[in-house]
Amino acid sequence: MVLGLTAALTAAAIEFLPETLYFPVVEYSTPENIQIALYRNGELEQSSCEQVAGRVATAIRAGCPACKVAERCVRGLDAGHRKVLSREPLAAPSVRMPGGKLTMTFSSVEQQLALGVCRQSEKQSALQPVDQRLHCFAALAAR
Amino acid sequence: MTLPEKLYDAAMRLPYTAFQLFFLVRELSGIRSLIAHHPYAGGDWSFVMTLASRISVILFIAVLLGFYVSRFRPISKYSSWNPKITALLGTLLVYLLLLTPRAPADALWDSLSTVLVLAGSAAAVLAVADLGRSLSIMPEARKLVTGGLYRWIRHPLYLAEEIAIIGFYLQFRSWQTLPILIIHFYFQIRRMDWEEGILAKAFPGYAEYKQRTYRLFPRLY
Repeated sequence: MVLGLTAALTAAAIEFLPETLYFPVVEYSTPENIQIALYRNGELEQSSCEQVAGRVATAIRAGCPACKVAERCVRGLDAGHRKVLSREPLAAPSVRMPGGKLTMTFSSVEQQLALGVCRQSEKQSALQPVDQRLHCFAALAAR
Repeated sequence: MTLPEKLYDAAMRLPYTAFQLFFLVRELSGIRSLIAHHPYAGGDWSFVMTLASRISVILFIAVLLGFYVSRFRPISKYSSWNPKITALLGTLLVYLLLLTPRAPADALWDSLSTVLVLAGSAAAVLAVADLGRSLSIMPEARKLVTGGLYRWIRHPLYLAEEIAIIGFYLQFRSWQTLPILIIHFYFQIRRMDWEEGILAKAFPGYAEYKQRTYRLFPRLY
């Protein structure tokens, strides 16, 4: 009974607790018409989520003044968002930080261009500490 | 029991209940934070085991709390402070572990922790079911229980708790926190001494029961 209850509560926590959390999302498009979406892990409070999203958006605007940047905080995870944060393959190229702290997806009408930016992001992070390095995954690749 | 007695009894249950509720809420908040940092948990079995071990801690606290709140009033207890302080230290010291940082997630240690906490919690539920409303924190006599798990050993609830507590400890597993565990064990053994003393005083049949049973481990101790 105790084992069953623990398993049920663990499954319930995985399924329902994300609904009580806030997830920062920053989306931007480059002048080359590449759409990039950046997903961070959850925050307990909406205010801290907004701070994180704002910090990331400010950094992007500083590095790319011509980019169109929009940040938001979403409460809970819909199926698409959950898939992005999971290790399931995605339809678009993506980078993922070890531990899933950060995930970015790249989309463009030119698939190769999106993949190129993805690989470039991986290269640029090579000097970061190991746990902050990004790893690029091609579309539909196991992550 | 008169109304003032009932109110006094309820008031006496409040501090320990509040203490346990504090840790329940703290652990729940910790689990929320854990999920926030691992929202992709679904296929990550190492994380699932870490989460299960944290949830088993919550279940254990909840089980103890539930039975504590519904216990009987004692028919005999010590008037001196020494047994009460021993019991309080035996019960509460181990919660210091929950205030220290947990060791980094590790599938092997977290799985072992989960198994021990679950085994301890399951055994605790069985022991508490045998004990019923005779459960107490202080060494007090309520009703002599000699059936179920108590047929073989005199303190199955302690044994179950200690199995679960070793499981808790594995989530922290540091040399710095080991003294907490050792001091906790010392006070629990002292607590058993006090309990056996008050039960022997309150129940004439206790000496014979003590003769034919072991304290914690059949044929060993």
